[in-house]
Amino acid sequence: MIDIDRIYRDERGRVLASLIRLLGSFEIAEEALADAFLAAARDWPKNGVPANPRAWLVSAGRFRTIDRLRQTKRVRPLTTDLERHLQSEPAPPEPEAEPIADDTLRLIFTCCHPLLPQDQQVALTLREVCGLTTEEIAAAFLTKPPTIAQRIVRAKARIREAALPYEVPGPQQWPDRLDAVLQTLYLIFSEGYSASRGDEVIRAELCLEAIRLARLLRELHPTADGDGLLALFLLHQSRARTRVDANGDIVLLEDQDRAFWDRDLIAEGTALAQLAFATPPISRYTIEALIAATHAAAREPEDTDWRRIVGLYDLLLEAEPGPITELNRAVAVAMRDGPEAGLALIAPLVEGPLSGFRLAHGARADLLRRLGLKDEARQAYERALALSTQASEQRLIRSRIADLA
Amino acid sequence: MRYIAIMHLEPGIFERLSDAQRAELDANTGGFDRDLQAQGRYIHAEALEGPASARLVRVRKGAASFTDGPYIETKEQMIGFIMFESRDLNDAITTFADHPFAKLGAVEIRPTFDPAVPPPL
Repeated sequence: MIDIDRIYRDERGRVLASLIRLLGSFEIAEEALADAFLAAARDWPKNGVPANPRAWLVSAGRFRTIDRLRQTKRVRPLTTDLERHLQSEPAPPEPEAEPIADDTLRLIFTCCHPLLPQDQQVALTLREVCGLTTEEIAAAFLTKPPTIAQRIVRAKARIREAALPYEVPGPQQWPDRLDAVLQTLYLIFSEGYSASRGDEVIRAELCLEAIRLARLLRELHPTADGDGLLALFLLHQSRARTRVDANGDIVLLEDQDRAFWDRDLIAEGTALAQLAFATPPISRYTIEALIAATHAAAREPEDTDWRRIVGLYDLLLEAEPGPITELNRAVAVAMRDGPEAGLALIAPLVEGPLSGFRLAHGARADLLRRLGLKDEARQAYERALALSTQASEQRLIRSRIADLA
Repeated sequence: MRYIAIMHLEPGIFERLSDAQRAELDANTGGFDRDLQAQGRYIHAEALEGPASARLVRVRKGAASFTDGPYIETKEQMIGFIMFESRDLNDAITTFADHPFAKLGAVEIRPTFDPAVPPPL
């Protein structure tokens, strides 16, 4: 049995990125991508999966587009641009020889072009690089699909009109462009680590792709911020096997089986985080990586160095001020100094900027539970439950409420 | 996801085309449907008779009435629809930007209603 769904999940992003570069258009590349997978669904069951499915798909998509262009010339007057593009380009070498490896990176640099407003960059990246649908992005940002559709259409039109190249820019442009690219990789990893859509909590292929790209970025142009980001990814990835149980439910950090944490990734991530920490200014990624490294260093939850973690959150509050950082710091303070100390810090957040944030109510509920204040804890859990939209999270909160009875 | 593309055109627009233009339009709209079919995205399409052939059915207080209509004073009338599969709204929009009726009139893209998954117990 050929698992074409899995191949689609694993290869879609990189095949699309290559097709966008080869065909010079998002829209036509997407059509070519659909054609390529359709061709694969017909061909592979008969002839077997080719040795290099990605190259096969890129090549099938490209040639089908050229065929379609010949057949439907009159139907699609819009394709004249493409025709010109294909004619002006010297024929690219055979797919096997192409440097497919960094087409995704090229695409990210294009999606993050400073000419595009940030909300457009984000929507475009989530759709084109992460493969989310318009409807899923809208759900994640609590907006309507036509709003997101408009942002994506505008961003693509802008890229077309300004003829932005699909390329990784030269070294002199990196300082201006790197922040947006790192932020995008962070977004890709986050989407994989805790998916905003439906049934699956983790989309492993996105985490692995973010790590691959962060490594590639580091080879091309090592920076302290890039090191910090890669360190953060590796340290989170080291816990991937223990984060979800057999039922697909989230397992909290304190309940994870630490024997299954990946020690190689922890060692590599910790070393990189320390390297990045030695080069000021220290980015938020580096500080977050050091927090993750501190958790990773504890063989048992009781061994966690909460003093150090609170200290790192103090630093993070300077690099990344905001109520979410304050909430995380408050939870760490509760672990260091006891639940009352944490509650005192969380109360103003829950009544203020984070009143609609489910995790703030959840964190407060946990602390109330630890103090034995069952009724207040239950009320706080109920509020968290009302704000939660994810099935596995809702199950977790319900089980906490049941434990209180 | 399933979407419907509703075609809106000004009445009388076909009559103003030459025979050659008509033939080209037919070939192009037919070609568009075949493209969707080849991609496995085509579900169903119908062209409709003109609004003058329509009858409106209403039941009020148990009594049915049947009237002609709708003689709405709109510039563009619904003349047909295509139901199709698309990955998402952007995919649907860009697909139908190529439809000949998008140039002649307007194509309205609507997702079909997808009842939300009931919350788990």
